Amino acid sequence: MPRLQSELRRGSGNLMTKRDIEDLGYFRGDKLFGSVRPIGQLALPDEEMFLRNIGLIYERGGTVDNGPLVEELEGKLADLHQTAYCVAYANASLAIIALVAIVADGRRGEVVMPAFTYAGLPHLVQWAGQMPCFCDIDRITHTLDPSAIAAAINDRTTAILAVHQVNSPCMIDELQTIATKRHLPLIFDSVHGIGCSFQGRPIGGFGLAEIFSLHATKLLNGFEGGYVTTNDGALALELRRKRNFGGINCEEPVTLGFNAKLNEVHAALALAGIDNLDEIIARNRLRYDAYRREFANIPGLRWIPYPSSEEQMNYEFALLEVPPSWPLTRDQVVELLRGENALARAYYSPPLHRSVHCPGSLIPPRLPVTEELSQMIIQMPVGELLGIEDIGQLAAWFRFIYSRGPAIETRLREAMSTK
Amino acid sequence: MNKRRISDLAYFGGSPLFAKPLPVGQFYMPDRTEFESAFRAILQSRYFTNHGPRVRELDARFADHLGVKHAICVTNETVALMVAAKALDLHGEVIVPAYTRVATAQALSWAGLTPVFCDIDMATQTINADLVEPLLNSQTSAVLGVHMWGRACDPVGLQSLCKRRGLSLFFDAAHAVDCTYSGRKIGKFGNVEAFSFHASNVLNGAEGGCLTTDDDALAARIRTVRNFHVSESFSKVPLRINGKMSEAQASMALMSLRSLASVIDRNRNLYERYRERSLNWPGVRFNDYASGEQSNYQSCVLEIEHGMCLVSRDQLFRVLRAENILVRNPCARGVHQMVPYKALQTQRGYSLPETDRSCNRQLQLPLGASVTELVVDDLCDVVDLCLAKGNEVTAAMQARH
Repeated sequence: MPRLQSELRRGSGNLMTKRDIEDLGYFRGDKLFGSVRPIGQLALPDEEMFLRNIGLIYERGGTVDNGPLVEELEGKLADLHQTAYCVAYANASLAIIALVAIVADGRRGEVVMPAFTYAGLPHLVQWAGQMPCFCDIDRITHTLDPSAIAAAINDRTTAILAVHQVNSPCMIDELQTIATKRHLPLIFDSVHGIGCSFQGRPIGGFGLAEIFSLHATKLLNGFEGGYVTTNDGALALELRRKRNFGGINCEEPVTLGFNAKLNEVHAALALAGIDNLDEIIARNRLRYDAYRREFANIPGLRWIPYPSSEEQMNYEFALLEVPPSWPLTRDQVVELLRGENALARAYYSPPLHRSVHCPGSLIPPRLPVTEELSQMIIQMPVGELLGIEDIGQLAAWFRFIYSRGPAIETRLREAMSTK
Repeated sequence: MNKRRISDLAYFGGSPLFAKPLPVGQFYMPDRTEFESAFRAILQSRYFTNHGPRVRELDARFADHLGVKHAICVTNETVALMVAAKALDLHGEVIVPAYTRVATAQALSWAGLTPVFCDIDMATQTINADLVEPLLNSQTSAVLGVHMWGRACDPVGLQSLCKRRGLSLFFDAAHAVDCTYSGRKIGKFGNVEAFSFHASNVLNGAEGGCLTTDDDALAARIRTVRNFHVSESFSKVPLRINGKMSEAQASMALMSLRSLASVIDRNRNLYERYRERSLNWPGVRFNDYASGEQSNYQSCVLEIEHGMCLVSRDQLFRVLRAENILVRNPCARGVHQMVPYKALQTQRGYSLPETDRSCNRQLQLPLGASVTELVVDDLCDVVDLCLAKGNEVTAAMQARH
């Protein structure tokens, strides 16, 4: 742990010296951070191991489709998730399209999913010939509310696409019961579930299949990339076919496929990072604890908690709840943070059913919990570019804007009207 | 090459000509030192993906290279075609050749479109306006031409037809980096063209695709379709996808672009060598797709005339494979005869005789980084031997089956 501490300490060294509201970066002041503090992990792999992997590519005369590095990565990931199969994809989006198309099996129907999630989901199910059917979520876990999906399922439903949230896995048992009873495939978007467990088992082996991401902002960095884990051999074979134009090993297509191959250079990077996951998670934990510690005495703010149970979590995000009673709105705080090079974001806002990502032909349902939560949370800077000292600076900055709330609000309104 | 008798051929028990399999594609890698320093810099910058500086540089350089206003790089060329179909807001039917890689039609299917297969012109092995026109109906929204082997797909004829009939026109230009039509570089024809940077093509980004267009509004739509992010939303589009190219792919493609001219020179020597050697092969026609135009010379494709040549295409295929030469039937069958399009074929009663004929007689030979003039000569010596002893080869093969 000492090494992690020292790594985390290399911050910008900037001190929070703002005394006047004009000192805010959003107005005329210097930015709190000289360079950006993003919301993604941006983990560095073991550089020498990456270059050794690249050396293997050169020795073989170039990259190979679904080549040895991809296979090695798939083996390691199947071990990590304790599943029988892992199938790598060019990115998680293409993996979701392929998986949904396979389970829909030529039918055009609806996929039950949350609206408090990644903007891509409603698009991806449409590429797979399905329409999204948005359902409400549970207030504590932020995951699909089992009673809401039980009510939403109808004879057009082709699948349940549940999303594990960073603060909690889905209510897997309840979802599985519904899926089994209604004879529906249950698949998980587990992009935030790497390194996490449910009832002591790693996320990855639940439902029919789970989808993960190797995008650089995630814990395991493969530039771009994704993969599916499953214990279903027939499904794994179908996934391999789909990603390779519908056939493997030069066989003629036996199904509609496309090119969703993970390339070997991306696999080389992910392979060079996969042994560092525990360290990444430990660093995330230190940052998260620092946020809680440093922000402890700022009135009204609340960190979305990670469960204190025995389950493993990856501490990937730091989610800050700003109550309506605060002197500034959530969206104002986000704007001000971005003015300081802290690339915070309004968390899942607007929710998908109220956003441009909702299909035009869909009448947006009422999702009270989703709508309420989507107005409250800030996704704070995290990841390898955020030092522990930065978190202290952010806390001091929050205390400052809290103390000058009404004046900032007035100044913001002036700025808006002149823009 | 010291094979003199057919028993020297690996197929009949001799030792293979090549110890390591010789692939068909290009597979030119960047200089290794250059690769390493480029990638150390990427890691240091921690800019891995999401419209990074290298992707933006590649977009700009490739556009410049082709003399087109916009080049927009994506994950791979299949995704590029899917993105193009949505950016063009197509519906219903799209006319497409069946003589192509299956991905051309698959991209249309994923975009919710019905591919309608068109036969090819014997001389150019591409569809053309005369062949396309009878297939148009009220359901047709576009034509997707394929510049097969880099030979232009009647761009002028198709442009005027599509303009007249109010149709979109786009091209699968996977093979066509640095190829020309009437001296004009491919990349500016139709509404948009889709290139491939797969390692088997002349411009190598490991995987990769790129859409090129002169149309500002269409470029904005393409950029919007290829991602979900609010800061990369420029237009209203029917559907979006993660089609982002990574900084790793862009970095490789940039290195490849810098060495493109010398790679093409190298290809051209090998291509010409194959061409010269093939002149001595009765019943074998060298597919001179580059004739009269600039080309990247990335493929060597033979046409084995059934009955004119002493050995069949399939016999030659088996003999060369046994020598560890991974020759390919580039299009083993027309796409119209493949799953899931076979079902449509029965329904529509396609007859695509030129497509079938091309599919049945072609053989693609290795041409790329692992091929030298010496390799070409050795390989051609095997073909010489096969053809000289054609009757013996045929008899021996029949005896074995």
